[in-house]
Amino acid sequence: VKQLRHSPSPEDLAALYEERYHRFLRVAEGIVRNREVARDAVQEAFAGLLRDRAQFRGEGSVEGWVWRAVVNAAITSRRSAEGSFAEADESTVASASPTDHDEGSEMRLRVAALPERQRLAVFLRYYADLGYREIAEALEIQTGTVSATLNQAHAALRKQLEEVTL
Amino acid sequence: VTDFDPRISSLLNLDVPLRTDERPDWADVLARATPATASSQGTNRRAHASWARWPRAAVGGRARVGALAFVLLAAIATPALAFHRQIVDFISAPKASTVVVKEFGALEVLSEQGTPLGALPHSARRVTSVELNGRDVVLSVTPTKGGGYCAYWSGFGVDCGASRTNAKAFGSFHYAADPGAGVTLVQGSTIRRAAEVQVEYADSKRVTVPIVWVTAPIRAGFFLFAVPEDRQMGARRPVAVVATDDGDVIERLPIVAPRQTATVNHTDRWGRVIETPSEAVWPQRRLLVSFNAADNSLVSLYLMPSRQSSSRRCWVILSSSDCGPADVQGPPVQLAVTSTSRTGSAILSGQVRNVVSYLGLNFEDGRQMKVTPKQAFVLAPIPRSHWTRGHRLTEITGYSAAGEVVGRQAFDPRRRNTYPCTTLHDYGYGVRMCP
Repeated sequence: VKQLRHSPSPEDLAALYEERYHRFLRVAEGIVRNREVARDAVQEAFAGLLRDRAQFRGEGSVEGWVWRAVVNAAITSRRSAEGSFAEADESTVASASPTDHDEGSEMRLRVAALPERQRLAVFLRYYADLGYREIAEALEIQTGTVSATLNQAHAALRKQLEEVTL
Repeated sequence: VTDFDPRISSLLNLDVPLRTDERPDWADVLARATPATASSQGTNRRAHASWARWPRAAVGGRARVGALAFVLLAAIATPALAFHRQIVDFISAPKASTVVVKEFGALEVLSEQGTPLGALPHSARRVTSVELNGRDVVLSVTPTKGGGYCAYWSGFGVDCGASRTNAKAFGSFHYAADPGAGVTLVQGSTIRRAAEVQVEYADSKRVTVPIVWVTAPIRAGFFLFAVPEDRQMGARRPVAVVATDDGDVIERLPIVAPRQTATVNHTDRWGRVIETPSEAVWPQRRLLVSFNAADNSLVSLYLMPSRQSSSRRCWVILSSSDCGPADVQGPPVQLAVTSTSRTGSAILSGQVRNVVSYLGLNFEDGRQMKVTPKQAFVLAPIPRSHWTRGHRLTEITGYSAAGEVVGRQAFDPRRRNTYPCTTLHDYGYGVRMCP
């Protein structure tokens, strides 16, 4: 994806959307724990970016700006679902709850229990394959903070994994 | 960049694997970004007018289908298909009106007697509306406890989707045809997000039906399509509704037009106007049973031959009439308990197979009663002593002439609104009925 210093055109956004769609969706799903809500979050994020593309200031990469929008849309969706509609989405709750005790579901619980910034950093690193700079732009933190955040998450997860193994 | 322990990485991959089986939909993004289609509010006329603008046709009347009360109060014709899909975010959609909450609530109260649907009335949202000849038809939806959904098109009744696990594409489908009044509607829902819904006509042409997709927890698309007047009958009529995904047919449901039965009105000896199918030979009727209910209404059963075939016969029982085979198909005992009015009588009525010679009625209090069908019909009052809980009917056993059990039918004594009562019970949501 080319580096832009001016507002991205609809074609630029469309190209990024087509190229990275599945990773956007994967990260959003990691945040909201529901594929349908995640899909809507991604769509809404890009609709918002299209409307507000003139607000891109060129201080970072377009990709980081886009990732920030996707992550924010997913967080907003998750909070809306948790706050105003917890009673109805039982299917989502059921699908998010591990029904067995394999390592994957254990890890899901561990990741879910991480502090929000660590969790988002993990999602962007592992689900989106982003570098530290893009993660920093997406989360609006310093690059050095990304490294520290991921190290903290890694340490927490490894410790818990070792406890489980023992 | 320091990567995680490979084991942690692989476990994270287990969590949300990258799936590439889903195609991005930039057209949907563009539609959302456009002010006219970005709103999920039902009051946005421009938004919904774009996917369902219905030219007027000078028709009117009533159309009925199954359990749905399809009362068409307005004239309708065909939509302009500018957009085939509108996406509405359920969570941010406005709450449904109290009238709609009551509709869903009443459904839940009433369905509790049979299979509870688990609709959550207070979670209902108003998602969109279409204009039908100057009237807004509002779509409201609500989730169910089991992960399903129920929908309410104002004026068209409540419709709940089928189980997601069993359905291929369509969660529900109804066809309401009243060609005489110029009204034919195709209405339903699909649980496949990628599905395109089409109406297929007898001349093999297909037209895509606009869909309103509602996001989680509903996760279903809804459609209400008025078939053009010149395509309602004959060789151009609708023959199926088809769900396709990228051109592949996922599900095809044939449209079977409701049987149009010509009827004739008669007057019986008590001056009552009785409507029968035209195949019924009314002059040769026999009054098999008649008695006065507790509210003094006359209860009767007429039987008469059919003009079509000697193997068929016609009948008028309580307030309904029909014609059918001389030996009813299906289970040996097919009876129902109804009350003639809130303060009237509880009546046992229906048909049995010819093999059934007599019936044994069993009540909650252990008492029993014998009823003998007449010409395989049953029309008998249930004594007042068996109207209250603890004394109600629980089972009917059908016996052959030799005394062998040939069939059974169970009755739920807890079923509401079956037996007369002196005081109606308030079940909420505006539903008051006998307990």
